[in-house]
Amino acid sequence: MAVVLRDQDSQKVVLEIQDALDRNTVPEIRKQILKIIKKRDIRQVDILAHGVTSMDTAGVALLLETWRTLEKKSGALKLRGLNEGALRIIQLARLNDVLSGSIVEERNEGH
Amino acid sequence: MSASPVITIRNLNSHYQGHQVLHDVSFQVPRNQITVIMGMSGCGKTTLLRHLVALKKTGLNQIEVDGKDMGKYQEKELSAYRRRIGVLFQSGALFNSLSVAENIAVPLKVHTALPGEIIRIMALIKLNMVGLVDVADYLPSQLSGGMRKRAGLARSLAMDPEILFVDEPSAGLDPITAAALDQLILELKETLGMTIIVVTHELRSAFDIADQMVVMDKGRILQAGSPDTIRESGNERVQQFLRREADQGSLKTEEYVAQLMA
Repeated sequence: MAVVLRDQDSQKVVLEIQDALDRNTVPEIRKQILKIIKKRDIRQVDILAHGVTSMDTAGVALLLETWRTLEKKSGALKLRGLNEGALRIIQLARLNDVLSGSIVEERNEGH
Repeated sequence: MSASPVITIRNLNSHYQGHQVLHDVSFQVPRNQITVIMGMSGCGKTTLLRHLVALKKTGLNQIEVDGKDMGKYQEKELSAYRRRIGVLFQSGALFNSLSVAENIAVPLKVHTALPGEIIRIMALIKLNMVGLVDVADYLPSQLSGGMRKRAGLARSLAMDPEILFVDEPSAGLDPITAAALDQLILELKETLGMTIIVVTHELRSAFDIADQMVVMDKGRILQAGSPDTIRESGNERVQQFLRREADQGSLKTEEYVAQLMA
């Protein structure tokens, strides 16, 4: 399974994404994430991305959509463990300013 | 050359309307690097590009991609190869009835199961990369030539291709936009590790972005190597190209008269 629910309380969930976050995996991962964050009381989603081996702009688009969905309900997205490659793609997409509030500095060394 | 080749071209010959336009063309395209193919108009650059993007049929043992002979591709392999590559044609090749953003979305709709919301965001990201996010909902006919070229580049990037082919990226662009495009090409290599093949006759742009250069003339490779190798080439024809010196007429007078009288 590409998304694992690591922790949950009434307002916050912690999800772990593993392997690729790309155009092939995003459709399924998105379904799982949206199902969780559309629950009425959820205000914060932490995504643990240490296990993400590769990410493309479909992955960036999903992160942005998740961020926007939460923002609309005054919630917050936290991205933990994004690797250098993922951070560079966010930068290439010129979204580092938008997502900078979500990115928690605990990078892994993978690409 | 340290990087392993993605594409190997070996003694490629090609004909168009009975004329041979490529003669024993051989070189390698290194992975994660920018290869610039350059030469004067009509030297065979675009024909070579058409072979590389599988728009022109290639014979056996002439082009290998990751060690596999393109001449043996069946429809399935051809389709898989086309999903790995992005191509920017000189004209931009946009659908006139679709908005700019819809044009970018076409390959994603055709080749992926991504939902419309994600596709829309991806299209806008690509348009932002080329500085066109403000005109996402315009029709191609409402854009200038240079903007259409940039929209074409955004579309060629839609699928985050592993290999990107770009035909004359700077043609029709003002110097500032052309420089921004060169910068984007470098960023794509650095950030996404793309292998990029650029066909151009713009010398400045070529030397700014190339890891490897291939100089062609009359369907043949004059020289291939690093930008420094090309710059210091002892080949008079290469130097003529670099100095932008015009040919002194390709036909001798008697041949010219004979042709006029024929």
